[in-house]
Amino acid sequence: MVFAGWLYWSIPRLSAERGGRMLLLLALLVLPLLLMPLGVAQTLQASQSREFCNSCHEMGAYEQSLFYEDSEFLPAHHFQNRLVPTETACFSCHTDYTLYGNVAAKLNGLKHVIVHFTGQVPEKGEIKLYSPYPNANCLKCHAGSRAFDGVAQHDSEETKLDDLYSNRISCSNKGCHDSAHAIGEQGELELWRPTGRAGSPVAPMVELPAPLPAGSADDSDDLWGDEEETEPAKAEDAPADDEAAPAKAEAAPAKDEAAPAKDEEAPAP
Amino acid sequence: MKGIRLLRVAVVLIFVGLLLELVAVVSLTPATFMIFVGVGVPALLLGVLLYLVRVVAVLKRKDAL
Repeated sequence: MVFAGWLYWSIPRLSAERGGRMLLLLALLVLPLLLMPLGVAQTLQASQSREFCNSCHEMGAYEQSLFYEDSEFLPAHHFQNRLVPTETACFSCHTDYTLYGNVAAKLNGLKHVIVHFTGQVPEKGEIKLYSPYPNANCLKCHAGSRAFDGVAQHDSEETKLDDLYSNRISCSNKGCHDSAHAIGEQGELELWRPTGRAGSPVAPMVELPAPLPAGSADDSDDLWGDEEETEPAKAEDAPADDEAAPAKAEAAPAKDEAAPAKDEEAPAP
Repeated sequence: MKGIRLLRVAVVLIFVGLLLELVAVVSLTPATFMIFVGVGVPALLLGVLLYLVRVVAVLKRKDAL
């Protein structure tokens, strides 16, 4: 501030001498052109954070939905199992693919802020997506994975994989993966309370499960396994399967939860 | 005298822009972000533009362009 004030009053003197003109060049051209892109990049990067999204109180309910105890709800399932980066959970799933998707998300975000400040915010639970949720956002991670392509319901009489890949059938169709934020039911849903390392932004999911007995399916070298062994992977990537086959899903959690915990505790050497 | 005033306006605009940028970087909220993008960046750009206008005017007057 002092420098700016000094510059303001010294302009006649500075512009009369060579050194002063160089100083003006630095202060009025080089410095702003150097700092502005840095500031824009930094703030754009920081605006991807969950904390930033949640700094508008309207988003509080949506953030809370990440903590539903019931992992049938997709945001909770992805967030709690760290299938998306926890710090940028909102941005990860609500950004369309490609560079323009990113730009569009930012522009939509700007629109949201304007709506927030002009007081035209829809009622709680009335906030809608601009367009149906595109499959491409799911396929960013799921495309080509065995856990996605191999799910029987994804390639059946009614649904073909091509239809999913080409967005002809939505992943979020009723009866498929239609359990998202469920803001309307929020009061009735139990919340998950993370208990883990103090100071961790999102605590580890669960304590490590007991080791499997020797000779069990997980000890074998058969990576592809049989149908029974692949079931937990399905349960992790396709929570709707849990609904269809609750017995299987209930049998699976020990393995589902073991994977992130193992990654956390024992990184690959 | 007109040129001096132009440069002073440029100093003020650039100072305001950098100040808003600093606030946005230090304490990022939707409000500070919007103010930086909506006011700070245009102020910075306008300040730089005014400086360049002044430089070009001086260079033209000296037949350096």
